[in-house]
Amino acid sequence: MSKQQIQWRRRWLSLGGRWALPGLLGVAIMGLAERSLAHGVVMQYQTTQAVSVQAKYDSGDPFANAQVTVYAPDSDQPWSKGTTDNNGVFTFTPDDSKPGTWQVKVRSAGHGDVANIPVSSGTQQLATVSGGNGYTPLQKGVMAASVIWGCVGTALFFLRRKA
Amino acid sequence: MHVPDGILPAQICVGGYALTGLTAWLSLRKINRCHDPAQGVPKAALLTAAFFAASLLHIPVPPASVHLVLNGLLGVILGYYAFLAILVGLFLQAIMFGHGGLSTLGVNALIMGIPALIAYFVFQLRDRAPKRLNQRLTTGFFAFLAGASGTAISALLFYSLMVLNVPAEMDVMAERIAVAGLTVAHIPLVILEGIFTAVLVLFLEKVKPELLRNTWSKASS
Repeated sequence: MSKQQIQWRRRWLSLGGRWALPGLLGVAIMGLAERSLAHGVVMQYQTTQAVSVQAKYDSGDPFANAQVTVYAPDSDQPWSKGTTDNNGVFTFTPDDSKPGTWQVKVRSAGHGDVANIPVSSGTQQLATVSGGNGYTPLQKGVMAASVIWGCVGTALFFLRRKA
Repeated sequence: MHVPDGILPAQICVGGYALTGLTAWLSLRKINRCHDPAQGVPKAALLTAAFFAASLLHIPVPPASVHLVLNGLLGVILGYYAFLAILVGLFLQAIMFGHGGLSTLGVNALIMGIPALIAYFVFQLRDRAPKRLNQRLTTGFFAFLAGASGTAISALLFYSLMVLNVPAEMDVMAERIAVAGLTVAHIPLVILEGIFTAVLVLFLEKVKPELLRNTWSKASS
């Protein structure tokens, strides 16, 4: 190592010594400011299975803008709240670590329903659990007609004596 | 206007059943006292069918869909049979179509049955109207009033019940606004019910006026 090199190094070291403290402070401040100065966005993702609930009136119209309350199994406290969108759909992601029956209450203007959704810790099945009935219009018609016929029959029975 | 299951707290459902039981018992006693209790059964059965079917026909009134209730009409024509007819109709609606609920059957019967009885008394006022007025016009007017008030009082009962029983974890204001919106949506229905009742009553008055004259008032006095 030549003399000149030693001298250069010494100068460099002394320079470093003189600027060491302000330099460190500067780095520290930069570190604090880093959050606001950062422009890059880091995204992480993981796939989870969500539960999507669709609420409809029994006439088939979507139950829009209704208040939704989600209850975790064995809990009285609401786990999540929200409102249904214009199609009556509300989606939430249940906590996989709480398997059991999740309860979703939908309510608006005194109308509403409760759905019990079984969530298992492993694979989740997305199923329709909504209350109500899945009668076709034909079935409904037959049911209504039978009730009406029952009423008419009652009427005829009580009219019978007069005839 | 049908309150489904799971909306009201249990105490109110039980209270509804108790009051419904009491009203049904009073109605049955009134009917039993008239000289021929079975006389009103045919028309009560037919109007139960009408009441049952009316709720299946939805009329879209934004933002909700409403349906004819016909409880004012039932009150006008059936008198004390009306409450029982509505009770049976609601029971059938609940078990067949899940319209309303079994736990809230008592509350629903009160919401729709009590206004029916009020409508009956409103319609009876037509006999107190001055005789010099056009008979047809007074009958039509009181029929309209009875039909409209039946639905209007039901809507108000429903509204107050819903507003007073919003669960704490819900957004109370939003729910109240939603209930108020639904109640306002019933105003066209109230007018429609009034007109429907008036038309039907005027028709009956023309073809079979004795249908509108109940006999127990004579027998029980």
